[in-house]
Amino acid sequence: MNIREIRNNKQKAGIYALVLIPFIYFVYVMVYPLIISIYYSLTKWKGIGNPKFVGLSNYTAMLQSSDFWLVTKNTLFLCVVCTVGQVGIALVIAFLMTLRRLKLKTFHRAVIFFPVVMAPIVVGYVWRFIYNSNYGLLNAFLTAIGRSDWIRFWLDDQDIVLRMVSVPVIWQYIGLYMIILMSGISAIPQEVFECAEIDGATGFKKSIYITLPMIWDSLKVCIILCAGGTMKIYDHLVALTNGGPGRATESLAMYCYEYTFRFGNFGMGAAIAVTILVLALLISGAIQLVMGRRKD
Amino acid sequence: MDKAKRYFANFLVNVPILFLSLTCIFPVVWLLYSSVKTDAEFNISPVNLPGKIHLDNYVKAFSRANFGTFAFNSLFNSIISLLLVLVVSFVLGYLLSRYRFRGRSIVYGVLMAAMMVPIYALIVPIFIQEKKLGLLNNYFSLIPIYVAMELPTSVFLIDSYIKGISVDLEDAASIDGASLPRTMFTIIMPICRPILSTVVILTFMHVWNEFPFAQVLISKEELKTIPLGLTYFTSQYSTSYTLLLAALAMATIPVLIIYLFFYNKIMEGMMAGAVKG
Repeated sequence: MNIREIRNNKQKAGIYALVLIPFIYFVYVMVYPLIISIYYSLTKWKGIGNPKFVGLSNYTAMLQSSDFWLVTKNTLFLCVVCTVGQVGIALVIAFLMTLRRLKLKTFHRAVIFFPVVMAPIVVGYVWRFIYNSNYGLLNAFLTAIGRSDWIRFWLDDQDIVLRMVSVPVIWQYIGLYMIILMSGISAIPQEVFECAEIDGATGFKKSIYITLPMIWDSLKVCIILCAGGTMKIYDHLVALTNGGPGRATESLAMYCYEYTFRFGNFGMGAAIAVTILVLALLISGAIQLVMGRRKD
Repeated sequence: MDKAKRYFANFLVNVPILFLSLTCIFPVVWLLYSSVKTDAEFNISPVNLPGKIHLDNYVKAFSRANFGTFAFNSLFNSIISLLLVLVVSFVLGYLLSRYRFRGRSIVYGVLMAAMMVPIYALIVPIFIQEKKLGLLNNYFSLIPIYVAMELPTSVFLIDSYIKGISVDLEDAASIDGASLPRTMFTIIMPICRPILSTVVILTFMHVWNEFPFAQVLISKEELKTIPLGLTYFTSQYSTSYTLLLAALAMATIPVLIIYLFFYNKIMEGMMAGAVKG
């Protein structure tokens, strides 16, 4: 281990100072607000004056509002669809990337990963252009292939809009999970595959029975990251639809923003924020539980 | 027959991925070439290539729509944040990796646990805190948040990189009488350059693209960053599509350039950050 001894008390004091100053700062910015927001969620507060303690009434009001259930449903729907879409597609691509038949691997890798580094808000606006009914790329494409009867009001139709907004989100992050899974696959020792080949395993069987179990941990990380990331989805939706039509594409994070800054109801906003946090932790815990057990 | 089968397999493997790749690259290419069209050209056909390159939209974005201010603010936030992240995470990463002291595991544990917390749940309390401190709508409203946000990943990256460097150099230096800060900054820091550049790039990208905190903490026109400016563009200039496209292109071009130059470093950083996240 590359460890050094602390030579004397003076040095010890110096090290403590250098570690604790940034650490206390970090706790003040990132951890303390978390605790304080739990307190605010139990109060009635308009942002000015003194918060008035009201117990759990914010939470009961929240649970009784149908809007809350609608946005929770939207968020969970996006969470499931995006997780299945992103990690599923990424997994298939990561498998295909191991095949010798595939040409232009470096190009594919670089290109599929690029959207990951784009600003989510930019992705949202670009896709709004793609979906636009008058001059949108999607409609232009459908007209070009002679299926203009498929043309819809992609972002104005209540029934399909939630599915439509999930596409850009899936599209943007396929690359990230592809890279994580590919690095998982590349860490598998080559001998394992050679043994399997001697035993007569073919490409498809190799993927299912050897690669998949060996990258289980990477897959778990992907799913947790993805589900947790989609729970706080915000930027994409602001740019694409701003929650509309009605509340058809509003997420929990947008609902929280709306209550806090548009209605000025800080107590309720904090209650929603705490709910997002609890849901995200519950989901990642559940994934860990389910996937951890199946590992061996 | 066998040959036909092989061709078919090749086709089956290559074509779907090629299709996905094209859908990934096409919107970006389209964004870039559409931004140099005129509105008239765009209205005729949104897909066709521009007749000639027309930089008017870019000029307009700067002269009429304050894009220069937005760009300056984004750059200012990014550069100050990344300098701070660089120094603080290097010092923390170095000390956590080299020395064992009481409380080290607590510091480590809190930093790693914080990576799991969806930080957007913190927006409301952070807003309240900044309001109390009078920090809203200030050049330094966002930087403290961004620094804290980026710390865990950066510390983690630096810490694991330093673990792989032998202590011999530092021991030699301290025998020669070099102080701890001196050893840290003049001996180890240059060795860590590869990982530090990963940290710089990741921090830059995150800060450049960040939207929710900026939206909440900044409302003054002259302090807005590019992502915020884009929302303003859509509401203000909703009739000129090419102007909006030029603004979107300008938000993307710096990221694109950095991506092309530092592709490997970005991959490395994203992976390390994600795998431990």
